[in-house]
Amino acid sequence: MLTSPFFQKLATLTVLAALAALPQPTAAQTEAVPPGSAHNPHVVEVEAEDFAFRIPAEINSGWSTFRLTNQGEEHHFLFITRLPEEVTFDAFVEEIVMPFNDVWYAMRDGHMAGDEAMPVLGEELPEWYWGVDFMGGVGFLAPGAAAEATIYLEPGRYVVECYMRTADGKMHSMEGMLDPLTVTVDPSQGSPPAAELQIALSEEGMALDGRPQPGLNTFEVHWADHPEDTFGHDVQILRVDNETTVDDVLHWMNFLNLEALTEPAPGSFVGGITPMPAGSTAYFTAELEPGRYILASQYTSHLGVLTEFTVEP
Amino acid sequence: MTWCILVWTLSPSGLPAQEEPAPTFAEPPALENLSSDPNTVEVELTAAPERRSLVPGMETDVLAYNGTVPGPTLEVEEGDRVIVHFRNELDVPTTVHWHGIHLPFAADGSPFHPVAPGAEFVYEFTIHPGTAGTYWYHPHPHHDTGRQVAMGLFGAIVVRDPDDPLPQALPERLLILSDNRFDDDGQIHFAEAGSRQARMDEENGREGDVLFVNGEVMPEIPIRAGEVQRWRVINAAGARTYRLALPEHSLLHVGSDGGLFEHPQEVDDILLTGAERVELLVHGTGEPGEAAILQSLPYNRYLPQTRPADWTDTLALATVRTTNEPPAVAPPLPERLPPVPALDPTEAATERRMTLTKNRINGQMMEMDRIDEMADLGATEIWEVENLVGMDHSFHLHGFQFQVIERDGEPVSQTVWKDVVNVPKRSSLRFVVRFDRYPGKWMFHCHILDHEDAGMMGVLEVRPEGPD
Repeated sequence: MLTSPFFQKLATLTVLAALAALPQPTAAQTEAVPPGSAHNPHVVEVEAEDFAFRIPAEINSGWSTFRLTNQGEEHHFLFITRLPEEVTFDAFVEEIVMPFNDVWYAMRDGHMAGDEAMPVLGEELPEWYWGVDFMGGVGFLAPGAAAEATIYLEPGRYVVECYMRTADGKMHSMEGMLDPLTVTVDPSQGSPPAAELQIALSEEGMALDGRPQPGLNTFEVHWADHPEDTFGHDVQILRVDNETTVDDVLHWMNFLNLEALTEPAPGSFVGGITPMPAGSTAYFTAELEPGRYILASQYTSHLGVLTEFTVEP
Repeated sequence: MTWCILVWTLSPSGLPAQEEPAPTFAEPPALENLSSDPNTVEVELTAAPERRSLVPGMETDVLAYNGTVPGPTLEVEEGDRVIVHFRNELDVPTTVHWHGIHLPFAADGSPFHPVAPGAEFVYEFTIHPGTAGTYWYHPHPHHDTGRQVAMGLFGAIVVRDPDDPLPQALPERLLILSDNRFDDDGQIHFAEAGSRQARMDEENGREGDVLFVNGEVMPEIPIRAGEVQRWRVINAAGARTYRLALPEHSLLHVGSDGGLFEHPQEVDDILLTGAERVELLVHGTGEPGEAAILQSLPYNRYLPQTRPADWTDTLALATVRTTNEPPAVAPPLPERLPPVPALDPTEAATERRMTLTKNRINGQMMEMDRIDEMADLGATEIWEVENLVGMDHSFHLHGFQFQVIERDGEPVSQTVWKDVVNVPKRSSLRFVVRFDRYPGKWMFHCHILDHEDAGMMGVLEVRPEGPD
């Protein structure tokens, strides 16, 4: 559970600032392709290894489908952050990633509680941090799996990262899964896919409309709002056995737990989509086998934003 | 606490802020040849704990070959038979790796052949024609290479060509570059496990803040006005990449890891990644009494997460002082040197891909009992090395020199023999290699020694031709 007042406050500020500053796609841009229509994907192939991304340095702006393939032996995901215009990748790493990592190490090693970390980070983080935008990306993905997320990106400077953790508690981003990404003014000519399934994310919860089927499923996700004191909604899909509880999953996803985000996972994560600003619409695809699934949100499931479904054979 | 006072950064005047007299430039002694056979070089080499003065006024516990840091130089000629009687007087296993030399597997000094404390081992190999160049030797025990090198175990190998195409009249200088860190007691300092410095060392490799040339801090290299000197430069540092420059002097790059190449190139500065060597012709263009500083210019090889705060500093390595002797007249220099025989990439039947990530090659960490790649003896292959992460790695292949043919898809300008190559952040290169003569298990690894020790290494088995 997100029990640390510091992280709750920090998250609130982050999300509110991020959402306020975000350029939103227009209605025409977000209009999905009707089911059965030809989808024009602008595919950005991303390979995740232990511990690096193989990802282009530049992509065109507009709709892009990030196809993440996990070639490693640990879970990975692709978290995309847009930087304020004047901020460089190096500045983001030095002024944001490093202080966060130092605090994490202090917590990991038992030198600091979350409450104690607050004044440290509060003093160290620059003003511009409150202007970063979380812009989606591919959710948690088990080794050997592949999944897609289709999102709309404006031109600008971005950072991609994976902050899963190694067995000895090092964030993958610190091990090399942290890269700059430039989105150019050239248009991608991409369009969003047709989706058979809809997910509405709000303070009311996570509403799934439609019945997932065996095979490839495409989900349209809409962020109506974000709860206060959180980093915002995201969607993570994992297949679990009958013994695995929702609490098991939420405990593993909660980055404040020292053993979280580390192998082994409580189930088989097959993708999803990372946080986006309120008002956004984005898409993801996931390959589903028959079985029991939990749709969870890393940062808001503790508030009840989650659901379950079963894929029948 | 380290010896920050000995960090040699340049003052605004361009001169180092040191007032003590500069030590005289000296090269390590040559290993004594015990053989009476004109085509055999037989030497004795012992690794042992010693106590030496590395920094002024302090005694330091070191590990040394034959009592010196750097160790004595192995001087040989093409065609020589080399016999090294090695004795390990350390309290841990070690090896002697003859870096860059094409030799039998059993003589490679790789982690497959550790020499136990108190034990002896005889390394025997032949220096094949075409080998002439500058090489070095150092320990290569699994998981302990970086520490043993940092403690002082490294030395040069100079292989001469009886028909060297460069004028014999050129004075030669051997420059072995290294760095180190010291605590207040003058002892070699290693970061405490779990400390921020340890995390930086794990990422960047352990860099020292005291820079040595042939074991001296800021030695003074004499050069006559008008003289051309032939410098053999070895980067023996465990992790540091040097970007060498000598302001107001011309540097002519004539040789790389595996010797001279056809088209000398005038350079303003030159990059040396760990274990890399260059040969430079340095033209003394100063007036008598003038000094120039041999520098290492800033080079950003680091992840932003762990980039040292002082990485933008220009570092001073040595003073090059023009003597008061009458000006020298340099002998005429050839505009072209003999071409390096090029390996033919079209003969490659196999292409391999090596992906570099933190402490891993192709996603795997070193396992001594695992063979990662297998090749046939005599085969020509192309290897693509891709660095996926945001810091430079180097790539070293044991036993066989190779020729880089492309960087990021662009062909390279000329054929050069290499055994270690820098792979800049988020870049790739391709090289061609032929596995001649020697079957065996050959290491390939990052030559940032902390990375190598952490497992960024693999094993290529070259198998004799014929049915299994």
